[in-house]
Amino acid sequence: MKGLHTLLWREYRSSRGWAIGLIGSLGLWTWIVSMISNEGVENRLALRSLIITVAFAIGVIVLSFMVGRLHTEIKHDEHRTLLLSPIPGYLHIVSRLVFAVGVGLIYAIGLGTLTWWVFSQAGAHLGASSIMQLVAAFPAFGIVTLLMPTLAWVLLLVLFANAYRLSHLTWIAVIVMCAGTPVSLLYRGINGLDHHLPVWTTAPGITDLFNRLAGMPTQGEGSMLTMAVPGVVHYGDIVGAVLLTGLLVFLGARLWEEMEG
Amino acid sequence: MLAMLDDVTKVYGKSYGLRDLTLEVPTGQVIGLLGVNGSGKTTLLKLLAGLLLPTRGQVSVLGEPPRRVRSKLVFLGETDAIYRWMGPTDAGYLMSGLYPDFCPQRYLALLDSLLVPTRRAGAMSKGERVRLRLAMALAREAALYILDEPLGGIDLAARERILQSIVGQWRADASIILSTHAIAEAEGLFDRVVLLKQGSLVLDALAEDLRERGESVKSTFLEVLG
Amino acid sequence: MTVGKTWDLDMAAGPIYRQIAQHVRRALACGVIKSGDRLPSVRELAQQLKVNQNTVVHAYSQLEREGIVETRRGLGTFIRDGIPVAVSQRELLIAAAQRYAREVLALSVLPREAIEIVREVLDAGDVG
Repeated sequence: MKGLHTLLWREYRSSRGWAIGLIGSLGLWTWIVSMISNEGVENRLALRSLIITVAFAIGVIVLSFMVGRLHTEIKHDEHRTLLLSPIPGYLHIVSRLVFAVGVGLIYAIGLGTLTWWVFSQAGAHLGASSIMQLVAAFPAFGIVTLLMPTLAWVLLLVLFANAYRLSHLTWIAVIVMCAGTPVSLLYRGINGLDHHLPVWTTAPGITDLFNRLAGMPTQGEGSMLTMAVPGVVHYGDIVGAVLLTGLLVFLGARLWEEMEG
Repeated sequence: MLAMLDDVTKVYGKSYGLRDLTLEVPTGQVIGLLGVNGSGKTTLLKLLAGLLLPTRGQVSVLGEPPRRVRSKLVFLGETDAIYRWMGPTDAGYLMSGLYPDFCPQRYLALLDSLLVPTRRAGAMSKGERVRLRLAMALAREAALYILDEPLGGIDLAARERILQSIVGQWRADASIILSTHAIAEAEGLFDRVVLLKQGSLVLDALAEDLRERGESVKSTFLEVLG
Repeated sequence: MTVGKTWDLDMAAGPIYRQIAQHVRRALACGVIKSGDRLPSVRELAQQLKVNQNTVVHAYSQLEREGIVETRRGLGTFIRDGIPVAVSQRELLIAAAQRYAREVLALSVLPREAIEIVREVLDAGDVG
């Protein structure tokens, strides 16, 4: 475990700037959101929610780039010290993932707090449990189901790109090449577990608000509001995301162990 | 036998990096790997370190593929970079966490004798970075030290210190194989010299045997490859 | 004994171990080291000369075989007691004389003249 601790430290020292920048941008989003003062509760709420959704998407993109710097590391042979260490391959990947997801969680909780504020301003009556759900649970859900597998996928792609470029093409590389389709199928399949797992519904205060703002869809695709605030949390999604991430990390670890340096 | 390349060929696309090369590395020996640029020295050293896989033949260190026993070997590459934000203390912390055989006291002593400054790597000169990496490498208690051009791009005074450090760190239960162009200065270090030419081994001799015949390693090099 | 100035090791002048042994004998003959003195450790000398530790070990073994040094476990390598310095001096001078004699013969100079020249050089104190 000393290895993981050291790798996390390395990750922190290497990515400190990015983390601070991203978390610091919460100030920017807050400022932008507070500047919106349209007429009409509905428009204001819609626009603000859109901004929060965009902020979340930007967070995913920024963290993907942060984690994708592994490619530059490999190009400059900076990774050699890590590659030849006795530490197993998967820990190198897990450490990068843990740090990025950790930063993402803090960022997402910040956005969740902003979402709570936005909805309070729009008149939603939010009880204590709703606040917790908005501030911590929903963002965490988004991080686990979206960010985590995305970052694992970015790492795998980077490793694949570097391993394939060199002369030794392992069976891992072939599988990864074809993995795009099966992986998404797997994810869809896992979602089928949905039916057998409980579901966690949204804060009642928000549902009330939606009902009051007539004509606003509370569920389904394309709703700007529901992108920021999921109506229901499917545990199947969480299980699927964790399994998918596990698979991607496993494949990445194999590549790491076998790639030529 | 500590390590071995057994009839190894390494092909890059259409060209041969190494051709049918067999080399045995016994324990306790210092081997000088010599040859002009492109003769296959880096390829050989990377194969020994498990950073490359042979196209044909077998590489083994302590009887296993090198990557499997990577905890017992040290590789110092020519192109290796350290993270620019790392200073010597950070590097020491990283090494202790990653490598159980890293000796912090020896590391401090090496930083001292190699005159490594306390800046971060990004603010060091190329030569200072090489010396930092050398300190990181030699502070480990490994069985096989693989050094690719440890004297490359270094000024004369620093080269002396580096040679002294390498000499000082030698142990009877370990082996060192290093490549260099600074033959005249470094030849005293070698028990044995191996000359490569266009991917093939053209000479494998004990240094003192060459001198018994009135040659030096340098004169032999010029004769064989000139 | 200190290797004050770097010894001149000529990589083309025969095996290094032999040159090291020769340097020790010379130092003994010149009185730079004496019986009972401790030679540098293998590691120290190897580092100072930037040569392989095995080479120094070989040199010390050679000197031990010749009875000039002895290794005391855990303490180091020492010049033996009772080494007749005069004998070493004589050996070195004979070797120098042989080199001079080769020049003399090559130039077909008479021995009497050759000795006269030596006397002149020593009297003048000019060793070039």
